[in-house]
Parts: sequence; C-alpha cells; structure tokens
Amino acid sequence: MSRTAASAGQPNYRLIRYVLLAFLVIWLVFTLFPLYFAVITALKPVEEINRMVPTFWPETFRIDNFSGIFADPGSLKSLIDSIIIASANTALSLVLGTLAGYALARYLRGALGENLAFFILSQRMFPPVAILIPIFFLFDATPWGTDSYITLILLYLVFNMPLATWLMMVFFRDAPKELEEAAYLDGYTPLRAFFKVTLPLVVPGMISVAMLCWIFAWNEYLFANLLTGTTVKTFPVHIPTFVAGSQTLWNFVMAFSLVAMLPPVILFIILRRYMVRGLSLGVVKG
Amino acid sequence: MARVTLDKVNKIYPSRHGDVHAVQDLDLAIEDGEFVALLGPSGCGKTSTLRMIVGLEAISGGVIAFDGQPVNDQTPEQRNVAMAFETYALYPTFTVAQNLAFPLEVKGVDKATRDEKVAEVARLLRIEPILDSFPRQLSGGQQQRVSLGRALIRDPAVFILDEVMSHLDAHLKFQMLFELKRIHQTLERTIVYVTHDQMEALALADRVAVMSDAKLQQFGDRDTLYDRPANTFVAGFIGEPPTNFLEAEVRDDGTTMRLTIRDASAAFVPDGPRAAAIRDQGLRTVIVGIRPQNLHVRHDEGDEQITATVEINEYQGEHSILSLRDGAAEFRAMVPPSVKTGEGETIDLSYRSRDVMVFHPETEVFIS
Ligand SMILES: Nc1ncnc2c1ncn2[C@@H]1O[C@H](COP(=O)(O)OP(=O)(O)OP(=O)(O)O)[C@@H](O)[C@H]1O
Ligand SMILES: [Mg+2]
Repeated sequence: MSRTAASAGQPNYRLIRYVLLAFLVIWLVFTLFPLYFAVITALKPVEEINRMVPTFWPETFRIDNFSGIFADPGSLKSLIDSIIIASANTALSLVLGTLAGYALARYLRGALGENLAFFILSQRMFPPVAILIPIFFLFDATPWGTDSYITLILLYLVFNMPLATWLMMVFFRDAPKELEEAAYLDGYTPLRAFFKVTLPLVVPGMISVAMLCWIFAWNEYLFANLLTGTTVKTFPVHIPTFVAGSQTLWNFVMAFSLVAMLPPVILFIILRRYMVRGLSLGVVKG
Repeated sequence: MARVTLDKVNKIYPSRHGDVHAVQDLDLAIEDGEFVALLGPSGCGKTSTLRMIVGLEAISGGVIAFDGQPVNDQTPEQRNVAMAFETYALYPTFTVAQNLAFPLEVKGVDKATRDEKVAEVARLLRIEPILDSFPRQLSGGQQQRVSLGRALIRDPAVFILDEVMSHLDAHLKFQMLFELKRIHQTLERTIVYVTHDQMEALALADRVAVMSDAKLQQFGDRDTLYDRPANTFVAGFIGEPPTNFLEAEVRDDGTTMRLTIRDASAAFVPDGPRAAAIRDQGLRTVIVGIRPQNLHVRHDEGDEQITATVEINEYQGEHSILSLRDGAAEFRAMVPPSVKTGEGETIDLSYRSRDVMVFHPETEVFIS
C-alpha cells in the first residue's frame, strides 16, 4: 500500500519533458511547413507548380527564378518603396511615441493619466477595416492625393503610434525619477536632463518599439492596396502581379516573398539582443 | 554658505486613499556651517523634509528660507544645494569618474580641474580602483560612496545627505564618519545629514533633530538629548540599549519621595528638583526612565539601591547586558563582563538619583 502511494505521489519528470517536447515538435511543423513549401515552390519551374499532386521536393531546381523576378523593374522599386515608407513611419512613430510616452509617465500619473494612456492603446484594438472608406475619402481630399508616400507614412501612424506611446510610457516609468532630479540639482534643465540622462536608459526599449513598428508597416497590405498602387507600390501589393495570362506564377510569387522576408530578418538578427532585453523589461515591470 | 530656517513647514501628499501628512508644522533653524542630523525611524518624514529643502518637492505649507530669504519658489539650481540620494541615483550610462565629474561639467569647469577634483574625492572615499566601472558593476556600499562623492565634489550653499552610510560595513562606516567630519571641519559648510542610526547622528552632528510621526520631537546637542530628553520617544530612541520605562506610583511623605514600581517591590528615589516638580504638578503616577548604563554594581557614596532577579546574563564583549525582573516589572542593566551573576540569582544595583528620569503618565513629556 505504502509503496504505491509513494510512487503515485512522485511526478514522472521524464514523461512530462517528452510531452512538452512533443508539443514543441508539433508547433515547429505548423510554423515551418509554410516556409518549407515557399522555399521548394520558389525553386520549381513553372510546369511543376500546378500539379494536382504537388511534389514535396523539386524535380528540377530553378535557382534563376530569383533573378527572373527582377526582370520586372517594378519588383526592385516596390521593395525600395516599402523600405522608404516603413522607415519614415517608424522614425515618426518613435519620435512622437517617445515624447508622448514620457509625458504620460512623468506628468500624468493619477487616474486621468491611466485612462488617457489606456484610451491611446485602445486605438490599436480598433478593427481598421471599419474605417477603410472614410480613410480613402479623407486622403483623396488632401493636396497629395491617395497615391503617395506621405499617405501611407501618415496612415500607419494610426496603428503604430498608440503602440509606441504605450510601450515607451512603460519603459519611462521604469526609469528612476531620481536620476532626473539629481541632474536638476546639478544644474540641468528638464529638457537636457531628459536627453542626456533618461533617454539613454530607454534606448533598448526604443529599438524594440522600432522593430515592431517597422515590421507592421513593412507587411501592411489592406490599406496599401486600396490607397496606392500606381506612383507608389509597396511589395505586398506587387506580389500578386506575377501572372502570365490567367496563370499565377507561384514560383515567382514565392521567390519574391522570400526576398521580401530578408530585410526584416536581417534587421531582427542585428537588433535581437537589444530587442529581447527591451521587451522583457516592459513585461516584468509593466 | 547658508543659514537654513524652516518655519511651520508641512508636507501633505494627496493620494487616492486619503492624504498622507508626511511632515507636520516643522520648525528648524540650522546655523551657517552647522552639521545637523535629522534622526528618526523609517517613514517619519525625513526624506520628505530634505526634498522640500532642496526644492524637489512642493512645500504644502510654511516657509523655508536660506539666509533669511524665502526659497519656496526657487528651483533646486537656484538654491545651490548638493544632495546625495537614499537610492544613490547614479547615472547608469556613465562611469564612476563621469558620474563624479558630471556636476562640474554642467557648471562648465575645465577638464584639468575636473580630473583633479575627481581624483581628490575618489581618494577621500576610497573608490580610486573603481573609477572606470559602471554603477551596475558596483556593490551597494560602493555605489553609496560614489553618490556621496558626487555631492561632495560640488561647492554648494548646503549639503544634503540622505542615509549615505546605510550600506557600509561597520569598519568602513567608522572611517567614512571620520572623513565626513573632517570634510565638514575644512569646508565649514552647512550639512544636513539624515539617518535612522542614532550612533551616526550623535557621532557626527553638532545638533540632532529627532523626528517621529511627521513631527519634530526635539532639536538639541547630544548632552541635551541624552540627559534631558523631551519625552519618552526621544529617551527611548537615543541610547543603546534603550532606556527602561517603568510605571510607578508616587509615595511622598513630604521630605522623601519614592517612586514605587507597579506590581514590584523596587522603588526609585528622584533627586530634589524633580521631586519638587512632581509635587508641583500633583501627580499620583509617573513613568520612570532609567538608562541601563546608569544601573551599576559598584556602590558609590550617596547612591540609591534596588534589588532584582537576573533572568538572562548576556555577554557582549566589552560589557554584559542583564535582563532583570522584579515582580511584574522587567528592565535591563549594562554591567562589566566580570559580573557573573547567573539566571535566578538576585543582584543589588546602585544608581544616582539624578539619573532617574521622570515623565508625565499621559503626555509622556519629560519632567525637570
Ligand atoms: N510621493 C509620495 N506620495 C505619497 N506618500 C508619500 C510619498 N513620499 C513619501 N510618502 C509618505 O510620507 C511618509 C514619510 O516618508 P519619507 O520618505 O519622508 O520617510 P523617511 O523618514 O525618509 O523614511 P525612511 O527612513 O524609510 O527613508 C511615509 O508615510 C510615506 O509613505
Ligand atoms: Mg528616507
């Protein structure tokens, strides 16, 4: 009796570990399969892509698909357009979000500040499709019209600035106020104390925020497709244009998508160290 | 150089759960060049008082003046005060040397002079080996010394030091106390030093302001605080081990007065002036305060005596602490370590009648 009780009371750690590992494997299958399929499709010739039973390994490799996509001059231009819009929007979001976040963290602490901060964040939860039509007419009425860089740069602020403001507010709350006070005593003005003492503390947070904003602007399709497309064309809008008559050239679509994945991946690899630190700072202390 | 006066200063923090009255009607006059310690238990309003003096916190009521000029509306920079923070507040992105040089850099001091002063302060505070480290690489005590150094490097009207030695070990603290005292003697600047450690306060300060519960209890030099404490709080806070407090009934036959400890056989005899004061006020009961140091085994001419039972004889190196019992009353005495009286044995102890402190039974105010 006592023996069974003892073994029942002891959890089987090895079994638990295997179960958890199994979940991880399932998770990897789900997340990596699309990538795998994109890679093999990008390497197939046109004849192989529309088989009823798809091949899971290319019968003939077509590396030159990757150069083929750039035969269309619009391909390179769409990547450049995307880079311009994502970067400009990120810079603006960061400047505005940092200053607003600082104001919320330092000067609006009571109930008013809490409510205002939450209201700002709630903008991000709003379903964008609901305002698609009004947004179109709004930008149509501006001097620069809908089809321009400035349209998307400003429009993406609607989504990125609330997030940037909220996150920067959390980072600034973690930055001790005494540091600024010490700087005041030593003769700094509030503005100098902010730039010289407090801002350096939240740089890791700013990098994380920049990543999030940049990736959102890079990937956005819905508004870009509706508002722009002639003078300005971002890469998500360019992707569906790889067609020959009624046939979609999936190998080109996949090759171009893989190329478009490179900038964010490279950025992420470079900035990963700062980014994880910044995000966990917010999570732990927020 | 400045004379700092606080006149009925109040600090009220508004909060959702009702206002916090952190400093209440505080009057304090600190002379130019004086070293004053602000002493009190945690949460009594010391930091709030300092923050109002330096100008980081709005003054809810009253006037703070430097050399007679009200400074209520001046910025911290205009007041020209240097402060070492309880939380150190070192700039994490600067090295120790840069932290120390920062206040000078802001004032536009040239590099050569800056380096010279940094080296001087570093030597004084024994932080030369860590000058190139960043604050996060330092121990608490090292950070505390850097923070003190950043205040001392300046040449302000007043130095404000908030618990700058709380994280130093006893040996280092002793050295730092000595250095600080010497710095004060050479600079002759007004220093306000906050601490909850009475040993530090008494060792350093010309005068000590004892605070409790947002209010000033007493402001005086160490002899006054020790011999004539304003109330039981001050008597209990100053001195280690703390003063014994015993409730006593007044037995008076007109010529000799005996203060009989409640539910015990011992009685204390106060000296003449105190007996007269008790008679004047017509008190039937009082609180007797007697310091453990003032209960002796040696009997001198004219001493009074009591007898008690030893419960614990605790050896502490240079002296022993006896925990004593007499009836329901418990108290302690500090005796030489040669006293070997053990548990359950009785001992005779002498005291001088002028060491018997007497407090009012309700207001707990000192009766002189
Ligand atoms: N910003 C604030 N908002 C609300 N209440 C505060 C604030 N700062 C201090 N208090 C309250 O005021 C009282 C006094 O605080 P203060 O920091 O002055 O104490 P202290 O004597 O410095 O204590 P310690 O020795 O622990 O540093 C405390 O009850 C504290 O909770
Ligand atoms: Mg304090």
